[in-house]
Amino acid sequence: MLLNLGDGKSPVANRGSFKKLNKEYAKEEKGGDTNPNLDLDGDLLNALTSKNKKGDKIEIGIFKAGEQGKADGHNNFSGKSTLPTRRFIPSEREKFKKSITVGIKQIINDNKVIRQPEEDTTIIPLDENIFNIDIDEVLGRSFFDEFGI
Amino acid sequence: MANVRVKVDTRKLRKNLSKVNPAINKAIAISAPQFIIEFIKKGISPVASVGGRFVKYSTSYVTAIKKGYVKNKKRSPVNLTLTGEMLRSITSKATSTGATISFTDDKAEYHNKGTNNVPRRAMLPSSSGEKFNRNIELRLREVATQVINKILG
Repeated sequence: MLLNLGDGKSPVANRGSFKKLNKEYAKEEKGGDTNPNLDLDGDLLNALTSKNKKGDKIEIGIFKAGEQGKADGHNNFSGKSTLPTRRFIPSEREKFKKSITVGIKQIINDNKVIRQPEEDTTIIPLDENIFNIDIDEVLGRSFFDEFGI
Repeated sequence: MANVRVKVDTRKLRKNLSKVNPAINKAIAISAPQFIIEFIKKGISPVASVGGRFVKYSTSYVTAIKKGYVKNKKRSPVNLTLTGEMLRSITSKATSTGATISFTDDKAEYHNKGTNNVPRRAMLPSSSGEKFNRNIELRLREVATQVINKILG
């Protein structure tokens, strides 16, 4: 999300790039930079965090009370904001853009604990000090001769 | 005697495999600095355990920026860039086991480790157990995959 926001792009699917900042505002507050990265003092994006929820859910958002007004000003979930909508959190009917959902799936896959069925047999290593296997030694030279290697 | 027989010659494969490691290391040495700088410029630490965005600049520094005492400097994102000299000092070199990446500018050490007056803003993993953030790790893995596909594909 932060990488997208740094480029002034919405992390929300089909929301594209944010509207550029007004030139006067940019000159006054951001040294002329019109990149709409939602980053003026850093407080809003520093407050972008996640919470673990029951079951297989997490919540991502701005939970710090002092930053929620600012967050709604950009996301306009309340419908009361007069600012150009720069949505950085998906509404209930929206989702994150693909690169983010793919990343989430990768994280889940990398952290999946696969329960192995109980084995009827146990394999005991013959020698725990073995750390390097020489394939020529294991298969024998004649094996490679057979394949012309 | 077997009626159906095939001979598998893996000499070419083995020869190509020997090229993989050096090529991956070289590609990582070229790509990693670009990824690192991209993150820093957006105010995000490339280091995983430090997590997310760099610590904000001090109130006094932000005031100085607002008053125009620090030329060409924005108060956010915290991109560790004033003249750009420090970030330009990033260097990398492929080694036999991977790549080494470093900043040659003296200021880098102050930021990377932090001092009594400067909070730590980690640019490179330095303590044991630290690693690049997940996004950079995935990108490096992708670089390695591309190299493998190019050589063996």
